[in-house]
Amino acid sequence: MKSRPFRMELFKLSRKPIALLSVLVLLALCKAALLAVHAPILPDEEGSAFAYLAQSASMTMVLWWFLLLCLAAASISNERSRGILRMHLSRPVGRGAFLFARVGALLVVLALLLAADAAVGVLLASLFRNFGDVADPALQGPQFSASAMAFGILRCYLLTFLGLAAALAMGVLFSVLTANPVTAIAWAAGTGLVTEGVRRVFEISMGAYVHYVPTQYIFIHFDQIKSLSHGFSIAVPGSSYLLLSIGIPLAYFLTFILVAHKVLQRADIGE
Amino acid sequence: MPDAPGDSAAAEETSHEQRAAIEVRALSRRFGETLALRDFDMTVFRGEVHGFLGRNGAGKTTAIRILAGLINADAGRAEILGEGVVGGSHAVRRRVGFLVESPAFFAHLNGRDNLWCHAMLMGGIEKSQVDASLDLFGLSAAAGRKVGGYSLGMRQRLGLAQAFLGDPEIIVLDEPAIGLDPGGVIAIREIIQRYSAEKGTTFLISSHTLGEMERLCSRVSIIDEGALVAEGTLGDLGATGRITVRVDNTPKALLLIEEWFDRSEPRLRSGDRIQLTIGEGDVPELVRRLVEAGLAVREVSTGPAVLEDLFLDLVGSGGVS
Repeated sequence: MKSRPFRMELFKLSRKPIALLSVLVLLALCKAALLAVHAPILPDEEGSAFAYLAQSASMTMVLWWFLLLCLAAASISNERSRGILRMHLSRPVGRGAFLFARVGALLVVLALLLAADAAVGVLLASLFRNFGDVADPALQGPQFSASAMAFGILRCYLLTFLGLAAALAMGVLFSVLTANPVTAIAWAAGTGLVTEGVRRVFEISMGAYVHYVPTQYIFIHFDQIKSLSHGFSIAVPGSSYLLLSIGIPLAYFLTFILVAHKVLQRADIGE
Repeated sequence: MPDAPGDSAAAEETSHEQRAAIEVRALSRRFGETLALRDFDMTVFRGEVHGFLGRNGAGKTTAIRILAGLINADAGRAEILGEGVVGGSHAVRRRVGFLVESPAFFAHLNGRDNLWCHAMLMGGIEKSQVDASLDLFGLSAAAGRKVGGYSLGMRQRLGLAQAFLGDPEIIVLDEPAIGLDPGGVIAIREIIQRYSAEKGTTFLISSHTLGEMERLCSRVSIIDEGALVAEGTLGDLGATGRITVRVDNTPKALLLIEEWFDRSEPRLRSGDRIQLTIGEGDVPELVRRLVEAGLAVREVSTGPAVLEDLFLDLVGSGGVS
């Protein structure tokens, strides 16, 4: 059974079709522009549409990281500063239920965004290349069927969902720490820039999206990757790698949400 | 056999608790260096229209925000319909409608959708009830328009509509008349009176419009610097009987009255009105002396203090002359 606040959140989302459509158009434009720049360096052979798809996903995920962080940072602080939160919390709704409903709604947005990202990516990739079976040139291994490649892509998107959910939870934490949405967005954007900079300099893996980056097709070879960097290198067997890919973002997500819950419980609303 | 005194006191206390819709005891809240509420007490009985008066910054909104569960108290107890709201359950708020400070809504949603959001948060509210609430405050025609295009008065009426949504047992209104035109003020007054009379709804209304409160409220609580300074019916609070005199030379009359009548406490009120406390039997003597002193007496009236006078007596004008 859906909770009352979550029903309201979904109702609000359903009343923003133009905003959602705008994001889709922006997404398509971004992907098309980025692929136009990168297309010449991608191989043009049987099944290379998967490389296209992976490349386009790895490029746009950085945009989603920033977008979701800022969107989440503004989500509660904006309503708080305008007095809407005061009106809603004077209803028979616990603050925890309200927070979880808001996070749930943001996760729905994230899922829609990733689904749209994949759909637009598939569409664009199919315009330039084909989705047939591929021989992995990087690993000089056996041929991979198109279905195995598609499954690899799907798995990467699911892991990316977790990584971006952690970013989203961090944004929500910023959102409850201050009643000023500009401050919350500034904190979020600043944190996003710093983490992205640190990640690039030290080659730290922060979320699943970076798995697209190292070489083309590598996203289907999780089991063959022996190390994972989260600020430091860990030698892990293949199965543990997948476990960590799920566990670490999940741990971040839960930690941020629990701290945000504590902060919101104690906050004065309507000051 | 008559009840023992202890039984009687216990019965009286039980009756008091049963009658209390809102009960606040020794509530304190500090914001940094400012003590917003200091051992504040207030009782609002079921079915009454209760006025909550005080100067700006006296602590009214802080008390209402605690009742609405928006902020916590540092100390004390606040109960609505017998359930604690300080660190307690929020379920009781299903039976209460709040309009705390100025209303705020999603600008991109229309009036009906905004109210539907509140209905979803409350649970058990039908769409027909949303429409009825909009209709009650004359917003049916504008229900489909985005709230971003509403005037201040329309937003206020939408705020009132959300407070009345689902016919709650208690409605707490913080400055309900802000932004309303005179017709709107009269309409709100009539709605409150009708709900009180027909449905037995309890109202707690905070306002600076003392004339309106005098027309509406059966009891009032007056707060100053975070503490209760008076509570009761208007009759109780102004029961001493006031004499109001209008003369042509008020400064001279004030001096003479002070000289003639001990403890009359004459005060200059708006315009040329002097208010004083003397027995009704002394009124002919007062008029005779004023006339003999060469003053033109334009009017003499007796009656309980008007709310404005009572308010000024208790808390002053706050430095505003």
